[in-house]
Amino acid sequence: MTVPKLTHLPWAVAASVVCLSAHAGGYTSTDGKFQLSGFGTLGAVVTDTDDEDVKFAYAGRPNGAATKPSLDPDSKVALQGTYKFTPTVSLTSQLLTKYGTDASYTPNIEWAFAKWQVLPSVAVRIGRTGAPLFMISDFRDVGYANSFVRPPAEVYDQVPFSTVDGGDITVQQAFGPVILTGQLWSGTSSNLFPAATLDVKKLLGMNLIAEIDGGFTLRVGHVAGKINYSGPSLIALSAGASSAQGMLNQYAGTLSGGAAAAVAGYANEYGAASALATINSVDASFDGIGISIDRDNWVGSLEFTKRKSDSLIADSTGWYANIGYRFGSLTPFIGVSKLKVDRLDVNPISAAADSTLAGVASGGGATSDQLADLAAIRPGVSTALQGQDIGQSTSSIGIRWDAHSGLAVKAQVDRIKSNGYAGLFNVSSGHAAVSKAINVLTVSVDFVF
Amino acid sequence: MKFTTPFRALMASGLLVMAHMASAQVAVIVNLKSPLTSMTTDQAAAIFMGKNNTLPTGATAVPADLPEGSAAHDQFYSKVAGKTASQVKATWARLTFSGKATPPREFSSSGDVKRHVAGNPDAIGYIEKSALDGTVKAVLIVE
Repeated sequence: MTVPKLTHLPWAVAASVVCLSAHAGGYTSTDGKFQLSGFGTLGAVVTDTDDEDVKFAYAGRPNGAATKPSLDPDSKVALQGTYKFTPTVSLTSQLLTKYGTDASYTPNIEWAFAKWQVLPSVAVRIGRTGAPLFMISDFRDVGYANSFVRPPAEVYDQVPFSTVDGGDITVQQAFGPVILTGQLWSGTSSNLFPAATLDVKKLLGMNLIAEIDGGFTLRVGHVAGKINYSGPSLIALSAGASSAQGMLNQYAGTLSGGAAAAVAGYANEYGAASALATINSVDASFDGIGISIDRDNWVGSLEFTKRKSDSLIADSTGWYANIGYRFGSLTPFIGVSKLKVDRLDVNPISAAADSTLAGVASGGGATSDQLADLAAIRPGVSTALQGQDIGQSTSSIGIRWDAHSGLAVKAQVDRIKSNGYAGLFNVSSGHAAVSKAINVLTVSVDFVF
Repeated sequence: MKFTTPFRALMASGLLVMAHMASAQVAVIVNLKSPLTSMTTDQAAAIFMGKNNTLPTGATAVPADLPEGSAAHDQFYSKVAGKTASQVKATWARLTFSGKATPPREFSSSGDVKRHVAGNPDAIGYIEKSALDGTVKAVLIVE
C-alpha cells in the first residue's frame, strides 16, 4: 500500500480549523457507543539566525525554520475514535499526521489499543499506546491542552520515539484528598529515520502519579530497555574501523618488540571505535520526576529527567520549569529549560594511529580511494560524537489566548543557546559549532473538536 | 420602567442579564430507580471532570452534558468544579487525547438530558432547576 504523502498539510489544517471550530465537541453516534474527536495545530516558526544553515526543528526531523518562516515543525492534525463495546471494554485509535523524519506529512497510527476496565480501579490496555515517558507524554502533541506552544525540547526531545507496542496495567486508588495511580508498562518501539532504524526492545517501565486536591500532580517514572540502532553511515564506520584493526594487527605481526606493541595498540583503538559505532542491544534507561500545578489562576509545571545508555549516544539530563497566570481568557507564561550532556565518549582513534594506518595501507599498495576511505574513519567517529554534543538552554516567554471554544491562539519567543556543538538545531555535517544565542518566534493556533 | 437614553437601557438590560445568570439554579439529576438521594458538589465535580467514573452507588456513571455556552453548563462548572468553560475543555482534551476517559455525552437541551437520565438507571446529568419534573430525581441543587 502506498501511503499518501502530503506536502501541503498546513493548509489542510487551516481549512479544518475553519470548518471544525463550528462543530466543537466532536461526534457521538446516536447510541453513544462511538465517539470521534480530534486535535490539531497550525503553527509558524521563524528565527533570527544570521546563518541560514542553522535550522530550528524537533530532534530527528529534517529541515526546519530559519529566517524564512516554516509551518513544518509544529503543524499537525489528528483524528481519534473510540468505540465502547460495553461500558468497560473499548477500542481506541488515533491517526496523527505531522511533518515526519521522512520530510513529509505522512499519516501515522499513533495509537490502536483495546482497553478493559477490569474493576473501577484497574484497567488493562493492549496494543499501541503513547509511550508514557514524561509528565505530558500522552498529550504532548495536543497544543490545546498545554500553555506552551510545544513541550520543552530539552526534556521531550531526549527520546526519539513516542509510541509503544505492548500493554500496560493501571491501578488507581483514592486515599482521602489524594488519588494515586500506578502504571506498569512494557513493549517495544521503533522510529524510522530516512536512512536508519532505531528499535527499542524489552521496554519495562513504571509510573507513579499522585493527584492532590487543590490542583497538584506529582509524577515519578522509570523505564529501561535495549536499544538497537542501525544506520548505513554508522554501519560503514564500524566495518571500516574493524577492517583497519585487522590491517594493523596483521602489520604488527610482522614486527617485534616495542614496535609491534605500539601498532597493536593502534589496532585496539580502531577496535574500540568499531565497538562504539555498533549499537546493538545496548542497555538504556530513562528516569523522570515532575510536578504540575493548576490552582486558582496559576498554571505551571516542572520536570527533571535523565537519559542513560551504554553506547555512543550521550547520557543527558534535561529539565524545565514554567509558570503562567490566567487573566480571563489570556494566560501569559514564562519558562526556562536546560539540556546537559553528562557523558560523551571521546574518539578512541589517535592521530598517531591514523597516520600509521595510512602508512601501512599505502605500503601495502592500497588505491587512492581505499586510502581516502581509511582516512575518513577517524573524522567520521569525531562527527558521530559531535552530533551527540546536544547541550542547550532556553528561556521562553509567551501568551495563550482562549479565543473560542476549543480554539487557542498562542505566541511564544524562545531564546535558545547551544552549550555544545549545535544544541538541538539542525546543521549540515561539518558545520561550525553554533555558539550564538538564537531567538525563535512561534505563532500557533491550536484546536480540539 | 422608562429609560432616558439608549445607553442607560443597555446598562440596565446588561445588569438584568447578569442578575439572571447569577440567580440561575442548576439541579443535578439521576434516574428515579437510583438508590442515590443526595450528592456533594465534590462527587458531582469528580464525575464531570473525569476524575472518577463511578457513582457513589458503585455503578459506572453514564454522565450527560449540556452544550458549552448554555447558562446551565457555565453555572454548573463554575459553581461545582470552580472551572471556566475553557478550563473544562482543556481538562477533557488532556483526558480524551491520553485515552484515559471519554467526555460526557452532550445533549442539546435540558429536555434531552432528562430523557437520557429517565431512560438509563446509571445516568447522571444536570439541568436548570426550573426544568425539574417527576421523570427524574434531583440529588443536588447548585445555587
